[in-house]
Amino acid sequence: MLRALWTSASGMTAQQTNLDVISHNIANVNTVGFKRSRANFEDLIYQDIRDPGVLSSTQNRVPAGIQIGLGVKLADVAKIFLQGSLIKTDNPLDVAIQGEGFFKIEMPDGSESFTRAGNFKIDNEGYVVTTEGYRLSPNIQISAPETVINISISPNGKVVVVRNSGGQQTTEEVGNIKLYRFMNPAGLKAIGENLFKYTEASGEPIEGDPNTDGFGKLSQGFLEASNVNIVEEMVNLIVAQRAYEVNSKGIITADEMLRTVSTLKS
Amino acid sequence: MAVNFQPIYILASGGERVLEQLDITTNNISNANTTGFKKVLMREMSQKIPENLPPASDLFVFPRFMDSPTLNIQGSSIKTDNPLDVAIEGDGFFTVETGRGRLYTRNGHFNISSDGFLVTSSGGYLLDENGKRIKLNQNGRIDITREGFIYQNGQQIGRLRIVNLQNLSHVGDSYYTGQESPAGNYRIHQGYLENSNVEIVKEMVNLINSHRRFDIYMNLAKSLDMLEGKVNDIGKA
Repeated sequence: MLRALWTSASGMTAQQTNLDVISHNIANVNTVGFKRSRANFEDLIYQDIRDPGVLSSTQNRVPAGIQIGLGVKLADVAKIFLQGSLIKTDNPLDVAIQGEGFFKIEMPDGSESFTRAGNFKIDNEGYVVTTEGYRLSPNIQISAPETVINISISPNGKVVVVRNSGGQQTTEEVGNIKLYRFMNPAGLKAIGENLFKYTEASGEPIEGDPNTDGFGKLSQGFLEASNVNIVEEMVNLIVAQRAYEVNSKGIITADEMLRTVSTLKS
Repeated sequence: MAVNFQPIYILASGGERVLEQLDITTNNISNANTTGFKKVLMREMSQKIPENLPPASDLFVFPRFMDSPTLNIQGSSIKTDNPLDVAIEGDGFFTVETGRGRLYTRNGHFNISSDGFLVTSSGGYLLDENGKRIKLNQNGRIDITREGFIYQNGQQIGRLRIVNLQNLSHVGDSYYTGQESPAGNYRIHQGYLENSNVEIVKEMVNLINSHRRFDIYMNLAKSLDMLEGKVNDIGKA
């Protein structure tokens, strides 16, 4: 049968994946700390069709080979870790990273994961946790939360609480927020809930203090918005859908040509 | 005999060319969104079959597939804002060391391998001016200048090796091969990717062309067949 059928089919499959990626981005346009993805494609192998001994009209032999490509494949879906805009929330436990770096989160199974979503809470034991209840690592525990009147987080990660015990105001340093960065953040694996795991491709996490050595600084009372640009995604959506349609036309053409062949002999 | 069989074979080989044209067109269409893809053209030629030479009335010319040149013109740029996405404006290809030897690409979607080298998305190593792999530091901002120099934290790491290619041919996985020649006229844009240079309108027109051309050939073949049928009927009661 015709190669064109499978070539067009590979094009349709690729555009379908592209649509999946784009709609995931659009769905997360308001997700705190979300990083958009982009599907990248590569061409498939080429079939070399040589016609040995062919003479051109000038009686010379044809030097160049003949190649027919067999379609397209998905190369990767890369995360784009571009800074999202900051939204002011005035919540003392909302922390945005301005610049590079991730928060480290302790998972219930003891493994580590990383996030840019800084909408933290305090759990019943006084630990700083994510919305899902996973603890920030290194752990920060605020004891006797009922006496706390203010929490301040400095741009370099120092967490200080102000307590009011018996009319006396005291300040207490409860810990430091550390940041982690990766050689190749695009190689991180998203596991949902705004969390990422490191992989072979991303490299091991590199620890550091915020606002030093190229790490981003922390902004208390802010959240980092999703870096999805809705206009751009809409344009991508249109491109993907039209490309899908045109590929389907390739299949229709091949099919109709096959029908012509089959009706050749009455 | 009044009717010769040869035309029907010529029409058949014309039909084969159309199918090849369809294959190439659909491949271009399916790569309309592939970064750094250069579209493939198809050239046909006519060929005389030497055995057919004299007498002149038997001179038949067959349509043959001549070659499939790659059209190396600039594709449009897409902004990605990813520091490791690089587009070439003008001539040239990035040089990549792969498991299949030295290959070239216009797909500037790069990654850092876990051991710190600059690689393509299929894991081939980008080469610098001296033909060495490009090793980056553990961390730090990466800047790539218009001339292809890579800086990290203000320190020069190397310069991307950009060469022109003659007799370009596709390998797949966004790679090309060909004969190197020096490239001068290029500019590198960081944060951009070069889109495929496939023009979807032209490819749709090609699709329509192939379809109709095929129909014409097959209709003619059918008519010839009917003609032969009539010839056979001559002399029957």
